[in-house]
Amino acid sequence: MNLWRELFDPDEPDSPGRRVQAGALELTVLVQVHADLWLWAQQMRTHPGIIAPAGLSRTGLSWVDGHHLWLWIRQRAVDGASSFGAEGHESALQRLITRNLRFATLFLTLGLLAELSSSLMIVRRFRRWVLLGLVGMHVGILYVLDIAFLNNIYLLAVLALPIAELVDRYFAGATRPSAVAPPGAG
Amino acid sequence: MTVPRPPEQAADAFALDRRFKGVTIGLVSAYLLLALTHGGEFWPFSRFGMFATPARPWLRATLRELSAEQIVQPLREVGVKELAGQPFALGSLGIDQNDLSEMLRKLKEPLEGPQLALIARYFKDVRDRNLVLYAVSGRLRSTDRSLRVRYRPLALITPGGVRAAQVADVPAAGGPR
Repeated sequence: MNLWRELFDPDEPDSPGRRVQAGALELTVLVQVHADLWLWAQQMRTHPGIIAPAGLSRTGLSWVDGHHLWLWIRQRAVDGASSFGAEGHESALQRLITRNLRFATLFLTLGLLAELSSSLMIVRRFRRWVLLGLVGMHVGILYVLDIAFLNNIYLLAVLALPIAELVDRYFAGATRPSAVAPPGAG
Repeated sequence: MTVPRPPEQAADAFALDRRFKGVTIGLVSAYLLLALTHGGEFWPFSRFGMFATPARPWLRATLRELSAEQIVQPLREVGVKELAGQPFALGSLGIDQNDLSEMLRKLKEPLEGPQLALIARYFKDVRDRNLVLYAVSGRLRSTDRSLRVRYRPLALITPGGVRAAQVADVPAAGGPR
């Protein structure tokens, strides 16, 4: 499989929507490459020679233990109260997670699956589902840990949702009378 | 709906994407070079170990505002439910939570002259307030992995100056620390 061709197929017809999508994809790949390099650097720092996501190498699959999420949620709560001078209120999702250990574990499991599958976004067939999974992961991080990776969410959503088709429809509507001549006409 | 292109434009339609290949390789090389020469750290890819190290205990700073009657030494190390007073925004003093927390990690109790002077520098703009600086520690108990969060008073920041908190040594309830 030609990975580069999976990302940018030169035979695909050009269009404004296609260009928007290609731009978003380029940025996403850059972000992903950086994230992978960062994980790899972490890995080399702690356990040289073992190739595995940084968190997993230390704790194995017990990374998904819901207690870890409880610890992080409380840390974020302390930080929020400390920075803004008010106890933040607990979101419905946070309440569900802090009352129910199994739900917390499930939440981390889904997050890990989304993260581990992220490189599959190169393959067209899986792309939309992988991207939607990552959007879900980021939205979860936003509502549970109050960490806002907003630009990542926008970028992933542009790629996962049919934005390119919408853009094309807009431009086709705006230029219909003259621009689109059938091949061989005239 | 896509717009068909005349064939003569096909050759350079994705010249941008080819250029992107070069940009990617360039950036990755720059990243590796900088990361290697800076011990794996440079903005904006500095280490954010929170997700990489689950179950690692944390220590964070927090500031509470108490009434003058509530500030009576010795203070006690408490859990979140017994905490007195109101949280006070570090942001309103222009203090970064990460900076202050990182400083607390390096302090050694009991706090003495130079360490108190360091804290006093952080809070030099505070007037007419009765504040207690707490070191908040969070960890999972080794026995049942349940969450344990304790607020340990470190310093009193009052109109009279910055003093070290005296902490009453009450045996901690709820298992070993």
